[in-house]
Amino acid sequence: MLRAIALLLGALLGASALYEDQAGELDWYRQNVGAVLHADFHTAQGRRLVFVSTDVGMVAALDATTGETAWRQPLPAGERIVAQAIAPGAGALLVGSLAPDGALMARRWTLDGDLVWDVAVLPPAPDAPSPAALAFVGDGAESVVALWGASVTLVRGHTGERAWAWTHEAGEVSASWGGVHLTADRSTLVVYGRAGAGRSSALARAELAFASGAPASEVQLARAPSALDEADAAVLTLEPRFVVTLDAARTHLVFQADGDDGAHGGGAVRTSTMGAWSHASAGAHARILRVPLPGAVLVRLGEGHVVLVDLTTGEPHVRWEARAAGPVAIGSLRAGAQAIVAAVYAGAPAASLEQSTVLVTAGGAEVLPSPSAVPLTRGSYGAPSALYLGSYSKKDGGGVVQIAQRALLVTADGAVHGLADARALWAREEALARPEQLEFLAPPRARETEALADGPQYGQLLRAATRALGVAGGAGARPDGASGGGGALFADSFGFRKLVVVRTASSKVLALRADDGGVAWSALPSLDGQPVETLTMVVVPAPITHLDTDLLLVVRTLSQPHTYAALTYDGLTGELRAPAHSLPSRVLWSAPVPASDAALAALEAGARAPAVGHALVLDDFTVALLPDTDATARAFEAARTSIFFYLLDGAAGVIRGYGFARSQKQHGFRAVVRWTYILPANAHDLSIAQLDSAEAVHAPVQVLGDRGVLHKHLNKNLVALGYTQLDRAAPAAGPSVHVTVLDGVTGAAVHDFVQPRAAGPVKLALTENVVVAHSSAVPSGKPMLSLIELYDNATEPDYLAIMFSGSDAAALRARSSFEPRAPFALSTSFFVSAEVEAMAFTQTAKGITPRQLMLALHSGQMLALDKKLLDTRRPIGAPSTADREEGLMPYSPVLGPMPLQLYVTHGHRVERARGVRCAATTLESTSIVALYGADLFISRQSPAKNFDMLAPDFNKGALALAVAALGVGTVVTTHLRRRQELNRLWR
Amino acid sequence: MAVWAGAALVTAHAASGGEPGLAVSGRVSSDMRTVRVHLQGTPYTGISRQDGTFTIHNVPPGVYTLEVIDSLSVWPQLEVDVGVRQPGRVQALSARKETLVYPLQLEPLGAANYFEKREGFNLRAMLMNPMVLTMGFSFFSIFLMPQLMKNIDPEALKEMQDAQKQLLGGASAAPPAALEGKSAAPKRGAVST
Repeated sequence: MLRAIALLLGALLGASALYEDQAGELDWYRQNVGAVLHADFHTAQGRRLVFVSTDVGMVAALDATTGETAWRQPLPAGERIVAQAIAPGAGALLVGSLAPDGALMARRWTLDGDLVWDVAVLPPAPDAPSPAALAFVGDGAESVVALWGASVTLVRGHTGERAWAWTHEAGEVSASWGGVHLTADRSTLVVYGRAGAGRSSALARAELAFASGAPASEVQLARAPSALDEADAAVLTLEPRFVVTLDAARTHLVFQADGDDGAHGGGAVRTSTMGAWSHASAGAHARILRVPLPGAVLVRLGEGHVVLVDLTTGEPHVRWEARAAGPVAIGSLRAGAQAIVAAVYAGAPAASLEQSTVLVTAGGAEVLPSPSAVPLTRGSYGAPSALYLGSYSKKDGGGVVQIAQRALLVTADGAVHGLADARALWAREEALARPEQLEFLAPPRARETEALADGPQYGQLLRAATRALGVAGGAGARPDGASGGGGALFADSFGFRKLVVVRTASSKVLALRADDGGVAWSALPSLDGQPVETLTMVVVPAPITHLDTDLLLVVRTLSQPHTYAALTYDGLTGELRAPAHSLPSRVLWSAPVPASDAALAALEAGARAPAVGHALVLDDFTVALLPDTDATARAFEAARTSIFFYLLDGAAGVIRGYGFARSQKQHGFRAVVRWTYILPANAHDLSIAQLDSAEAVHAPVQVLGDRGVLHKHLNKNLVALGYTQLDRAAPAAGPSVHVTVLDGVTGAAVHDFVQPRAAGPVKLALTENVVVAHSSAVPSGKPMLSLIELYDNATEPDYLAIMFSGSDAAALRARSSFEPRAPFALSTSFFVSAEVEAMAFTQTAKGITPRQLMLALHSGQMLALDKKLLDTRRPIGAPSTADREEGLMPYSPVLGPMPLQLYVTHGHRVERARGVRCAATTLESTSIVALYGADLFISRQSPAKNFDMLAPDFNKGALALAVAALGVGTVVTTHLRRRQELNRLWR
Repeated sequence: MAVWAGAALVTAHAASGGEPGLAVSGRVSSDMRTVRVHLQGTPYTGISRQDGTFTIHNVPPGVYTLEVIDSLSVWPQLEVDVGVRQPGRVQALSARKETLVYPLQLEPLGAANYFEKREGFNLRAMLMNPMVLTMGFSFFSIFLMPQLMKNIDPEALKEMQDAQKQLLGGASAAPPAALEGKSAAPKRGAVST
């Protein structure tokens, strides 16, 4: 049996394995680090690096000059980075993070990216306090102090061993520590923070023995005049030390001086009214920022107003205001005897950014006279959100060494920019590290070539011809950067050239070229200049193939009350098609309205008016049509009886199916409930998936080894619902995973599959008549794949019907959901060796090529499983002759370990993998697959090899030579034959 | 031992506020590369340190499948029992259910090769190609066969012709001249002159 499995696996291998020299040719990989949360500059071995930790749990070093990744280390999935500190002299980088279970983790890295130690500083806590602070203390990073809520923990800096921990718990006055200081004699660790709440708020100070953590005295509490802010930690300034915080209303600065004499230096708690410093009213936006200046802090009063406060006087040292209201990113650095504080904000023209800089020296502070423009590379980035400064020395023309400033700017979309000397050095589109949705978008076909470009065999000729004739776009011209302009991107004859459109968590939309990964365009939607949240992105296919595909975005403003709007972009160029269309509420569902024949004819004739409408179902179940015209209403009216949708209410455990009816309003339609499916009360971990309506199906039957057939239950309206359920009557049996297959039009339950002793989350994938569900076995946690294949009960196979209705259209359109058929199901389950995060089936143009199941693994790799491996009819025991003829492998409960050649991503890993998408190409053999997460990997997949295309390494030169040789041989032999014949006749 | 001490501390600390957890620790042999050691179906993951050691912190009691996440080498999967059979202790079992030494010592099974080997030039394979064989036969028939016929012994040729004549029969047999390489048709040159 093993031999049979090995032989079949070997045969499957050849289907999609890659040669080493094809890696990077047929695929590409984009590695991201995420939006920067903490950054420290340092030059090591002549290389200027910036060490960053990011919002997707990455610790990385970027080359500050080029922006390239020097090294990158992902933390375990789910960990959230909360602190970073660097000790350049000791070559140490310290990163603190909160684990998913609430434990505070600390890790020390070398500056080359190797882990020195990791330690759980504090155990899991369900109500974990935040934020936390980590700091190196002592010489050579000998110790690390972690402050988290009321706890202080000392960790040996060289070994990561926990030395001691101390927690201040004194009833209602539990402290929250924010600053730490080691006395000059290294005997005492002084921690600062606040304690109590409300009117009993106080600034707190505790002295602990550095060696043992034993409190040297009672915690000193200095009552504050008003309630203190509890959201942010107190800040400790450089010498002369002050502990500073805000009051609860964020209108007053509350601070207290401190000395090394063991007592509060200033004694009393002092306050300053921030409202007097600027006409901008301080409030919710006020924040205190640490600056590397003695006895000073930066206070951001609100949008665009920044004050550097000298706490020895309690008055502003210097104040300055941004010229335009909006978010301000502030950074500071200390370089020798002077300090630099810089603020970046949106300039007077909204598209530009400006930087205002203050030089602070012993003699005072000076605001540089005019703000400098911050040059960014082309693209849509949004407002600045964070700025990190670093210094480096450079020589001017006279050979004098000067301190120059280098900056890392993070913009609202998450992009990271490297700046130096008023120049933009590089930009990284780090919004891509948090993708929410990925869609493939097919570019249009050129009108000039459409008539002929019927198959791949003509494509090369057409391309060459159009190139020779200079026909615009025929050779695949690309959009001109972000502007798009008139540059057209046309489909290639193989259909490999597509755009990959990614909607990110920061609401940015980026279009990447599927063949090389370059950014074709990007857009950060906004409404009247205000940032928005993108709720939905819908690809609106062009009704005819030589028009651009549109992207419909439903957005809402961030400010309350929300304003909703629909934005339509040209998917090819990223240009906004029309002004934003206001919507009264959120959108529950949307779909394009099928174009009428008349509209299609107009488009074919060259009409420029948009003929594709869109229907949006609003919160009150009314339908908003885009554009709201008679033509769209007529088109929707014509199609409404065949449009259905469903909504899953996970909280209530209900799925409702909807159809459309006319309402009283002119052009008015509304969604009406057609069916309701109520889930069991204890169902949880709900997931839902449906068939891709564009999926091509070629064969309506499956031919068996004994020449019989199984009729596939083909229904394009199938919806699969997965959930976990614990039988309360028999809890000892453990939870079970249910997969319910519904008809999305009628709500009829087509099949219910139960996998006992399994738990979710359930991941689903559907194709043709197959549903695949991924779950975990209980209690082992082993990942499992369950397969359900649905077949129709047909007594006598109608061979003629099969032969003549084998195409997708004939087989599927002839059947109606309103004529229910009760299918029978074959199902089986396998253990798999790797944990699966997402999965999808390959798609091809006609559905002839066997499908592969693409699995996104927890390890960040993508595995291609042939459908033959996942057959529900794999025999238990020795296969029969018919089984062998059909190629059925004996059943084995474990799939794997898989041959490495089935790992499509080969040496690459997509960190935080969360989705797989597949798209068909013009070539029947080839599907384009994308694995996305914090990184992005795109490749071509040929489940049955490239049967319709020459291999990339095919020797075309040898073919041409052979043809030429045959031609010459024919001519020569004909000539010789004639001469011979003539000679013979004359003989 | 140091790792166990740390784990004991964590457990003791956690007992007051949350679920107790143990540490799963060991060493990987990975030529100083950083790899991840993960318990399937959980968020618990350890990162290998400079010296190859690793610790997965705060693991609740249970039986887990431990895998090494590394794209350059192939690693075995292990079953790890965290405090189920023996409370407070960690046990590891191999795929064959053999109890392993703890802390774990993980060795890769080999280097990962994700690619198909491209075959180089092979003269034998090229010559055995059906197309090449077909071409070779055609070449033989067109160019070499006539040469062989020329060099054949006249008596043997005569015998062959007789045998062929008998085989084909008198009515359908080709004229003898055709077999001798002489045309039965009148000479064109003679006609024209």
